[in-house]
Amino acid sequence: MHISEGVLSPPVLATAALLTAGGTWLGLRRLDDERLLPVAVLTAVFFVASLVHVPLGPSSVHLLLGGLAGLLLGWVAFPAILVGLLLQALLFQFGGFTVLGVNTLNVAGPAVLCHYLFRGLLRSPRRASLAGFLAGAGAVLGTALAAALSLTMTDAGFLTTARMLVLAHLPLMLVEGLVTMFVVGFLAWTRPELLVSLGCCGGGPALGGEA
Amino acid sequence: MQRSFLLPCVLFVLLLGAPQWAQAHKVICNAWYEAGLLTVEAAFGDGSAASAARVTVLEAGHTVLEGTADAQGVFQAPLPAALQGRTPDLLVVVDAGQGHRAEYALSGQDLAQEVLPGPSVPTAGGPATAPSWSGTDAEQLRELIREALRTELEPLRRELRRAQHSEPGLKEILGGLGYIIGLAGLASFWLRRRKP
Repeated sequence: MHISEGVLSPPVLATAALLTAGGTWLGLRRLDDERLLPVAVLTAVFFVASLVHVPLGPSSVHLLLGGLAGLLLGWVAFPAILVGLLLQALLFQFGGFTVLGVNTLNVAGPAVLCHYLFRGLLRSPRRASLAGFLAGAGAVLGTALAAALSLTMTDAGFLTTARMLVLAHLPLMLVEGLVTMFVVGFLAWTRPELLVSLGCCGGGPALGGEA
Repeated sequence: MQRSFLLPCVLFVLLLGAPQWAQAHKVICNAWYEAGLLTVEAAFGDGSAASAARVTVLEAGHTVLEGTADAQGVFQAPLPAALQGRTPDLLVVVDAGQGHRAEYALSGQDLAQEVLPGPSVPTAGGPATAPSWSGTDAEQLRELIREALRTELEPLRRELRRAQHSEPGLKEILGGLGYIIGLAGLASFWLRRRKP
């Protein structure tokens, strides 16, 4: 989901940019040596995923994989997605600089929310797959709703836009849910301690040493 | 820890190795003026037509022409009376809904060649040929040549339009990955300095 330049009004852009700056600051404070490599890899995956077009449903949509980054990284997803979107704007001409704040907020906001909603499920490998699916699908739904909300002022009204966007993103929700389920399930099976160390980056003590 | 990220790495190499599915999602807008009609073509980055996109033509911020693209993503209309005889720079804005928008600047010079072709051409002709054509014949001939050229050049123009909006390729992808590795290196450096 890339909102183009020139669609949104300056107050919407400025508010979203401020919120994104806050989220990025929180994320950078939680970044440490341990998490740097996963963050870089997930940023790279997010950056490239936008090129994969999902030819299902009424309109053309591309992979986001915000849910994967959000579930695994928590607040650190903000700087990761910001960098991914910045490079997409620079190199692919997707989105743009003035809309960088609002696009980052729309993708990273729901992703971080998914982290807090579903990280409790990461403790057991079986439920980790479920967490992966829910986070993958939920983040796409959240992003579609957030995009509709930011378009409220300019487009055909919130409900119409939201219905169109959610409908267009339904197949993507399924695809992203499956991809995220596959990745998180695999990690939970083979390297559960990694999920624990990453899951802790939300700051809460919810994930203990078990798993 | 490196091994545990095998899967995202594999996933990512798969994505990288499949540039044939690599299709963008941005709006492409082209506009040109010929045969008395302003034509605007709106498409998504993957080549599919942006049907029912709203097309607005602006002159210095004021709307002079408005309409909706058809199922092929094409909008055609004669220039409005307000523009007759003048050749201002125009801005074509395509809004495909859901936050998808693109602009195309139509320069006044392009417009001038189509709208006011008359006076500039005959002066170039030598005095030897000029007397043998009466005014209306010359005008007809000019129209014929223009039409023939338009048909001949159309494929070339289309190719040019396509080339201008080329999809991101391996070069852009690898460049982006290089930036990410570089930023990770910078972050690592910064983290190490923060806690000595």
